[in-house]
Amino acid sequence: MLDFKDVVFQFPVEEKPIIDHLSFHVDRGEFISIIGASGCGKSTIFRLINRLLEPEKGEILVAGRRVAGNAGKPGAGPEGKNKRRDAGEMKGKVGKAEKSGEKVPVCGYMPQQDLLFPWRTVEENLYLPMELQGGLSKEEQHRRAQKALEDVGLAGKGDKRPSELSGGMRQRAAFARTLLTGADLLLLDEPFSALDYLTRIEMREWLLEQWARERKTVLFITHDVEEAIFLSGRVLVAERSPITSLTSVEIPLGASRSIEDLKKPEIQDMKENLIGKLRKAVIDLPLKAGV
Amino acid sequence: MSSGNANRANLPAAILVFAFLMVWQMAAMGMKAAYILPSPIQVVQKLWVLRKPLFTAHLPATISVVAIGLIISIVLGMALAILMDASPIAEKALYPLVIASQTIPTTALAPLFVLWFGYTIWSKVLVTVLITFFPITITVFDGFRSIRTEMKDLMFCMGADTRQMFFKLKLPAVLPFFFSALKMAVPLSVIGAAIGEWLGAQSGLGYFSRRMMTQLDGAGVFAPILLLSVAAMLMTAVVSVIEKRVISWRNE
Repeated sequence: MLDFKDVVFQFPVEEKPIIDHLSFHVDRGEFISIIGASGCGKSTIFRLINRLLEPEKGEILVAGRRVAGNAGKPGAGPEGKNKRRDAGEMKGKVGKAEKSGEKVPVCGYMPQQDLLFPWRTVEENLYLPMELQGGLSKEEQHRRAQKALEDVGLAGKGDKRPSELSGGMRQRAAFARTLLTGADLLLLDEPFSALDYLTRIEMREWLLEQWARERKTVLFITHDVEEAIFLSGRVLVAERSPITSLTSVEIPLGASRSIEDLKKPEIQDMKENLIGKLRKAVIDLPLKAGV
Repeated sequence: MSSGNANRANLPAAILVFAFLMVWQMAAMGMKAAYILPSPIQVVQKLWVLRKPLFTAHLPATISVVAIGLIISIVLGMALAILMDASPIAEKALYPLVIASQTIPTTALAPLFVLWFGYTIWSKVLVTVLITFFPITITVFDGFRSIRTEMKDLMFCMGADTRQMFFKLKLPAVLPFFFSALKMAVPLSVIGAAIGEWLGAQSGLGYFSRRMMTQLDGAGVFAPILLLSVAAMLMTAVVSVIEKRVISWRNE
């Protein structure tokens, strides 16, 4: 579903690349967590996949389609390769590459904050990805939004303003919006980190249900080891910065799991082990790491 | 928010205004020199006496200057803000000029406009626009800049093109800023129109006020000013009402 091939990325202001010849592979339908210390470059991986950043070298494939990289051909972009692209001005380039294919984005991206538009109702917020892709009638958009709201447990909340919902509900709405992009690969960037502890626990279980139903490939960034273990089939650990490789750790838990499973001794060991790896990473982290 | 609550909230301001008017009234009565300091009652009386020329000739003249000036300012101000937002080069080129345009003493330049346009409406409109477009441009541009990068990123990830980015994110996000700008721009446009009329006009409240001054008619100077203030307040109130209708999400 997702392939990184020898990807190199460096922020122009930094002396060293933050991602250095990184390769990894994610299968269709997997739930993968990426954990790592703050500032180690986890989010940069996401920004490369959703093309907010362009890799210097290497290529990134989503479902076999190349979304970024020039396979070794240097200097393709007119404005330099590793500059942070401004969302407004880069559309021309991407648009050209996209035109032949459908308008469904390669991945659904769910950021840390819900970023629901305050001037739209919850339901209208869910229309957004469909409006951007075009081609659906108002009735169809309404039908799909209603279905999505029901699925994420927000039935009847569509007419509310985002500000009238709790933090957990807003994240559910944001997730529904992400689903409605129609993308098969979901990138969730610490979506629960701004929530209070109890809501977070509840949202984890909720997310697993969602994943079981939707059968999407999920890439989940977190710095919470317990969260990563509870949610994923596999955890990718960014042990050092620059990220040259991600250590893959299989989680020996079945698809249906509960909070109780986290108390198992082997899971506890695994947690300690992962925390140990991250600790080491923090110590190794250069003082001025890119974010 | 019931209107009763709003009234109670405004009570201290109302008392202060009333007290101020009382002091003014007594001071004016004590001085007995209406050509220097007319009492508020004399001003209102004068307004009543002069109601016909004021309301049929001078108020419409001023309002048309204000309206034309505001429309041009809104179009120009928005266009500049959108242009500066769309192009970094335009921003670098225009932003300093927009700021610099405010250091020009417009009132001092206004006689030049009279030379160019004569006593037509356009000399007044030009003064109005010069004073008014600035807060619109700057506030709306700040609005564009305040849009969170994350939201733009999200739109991009969902495949928005430049047009969609503008109409679905930027325009609605900037709307509250636009109304703030408008509430600043309306009173400024009235001031601009009045200044323009002082300097050269054949009608208008500013012109009328100045003519009364040459006749040492204190109350006659104040009466059109009272009318100007009320007009500015009414227009601002109208903008506020429209704003409340359009923007229901300000509590964010």
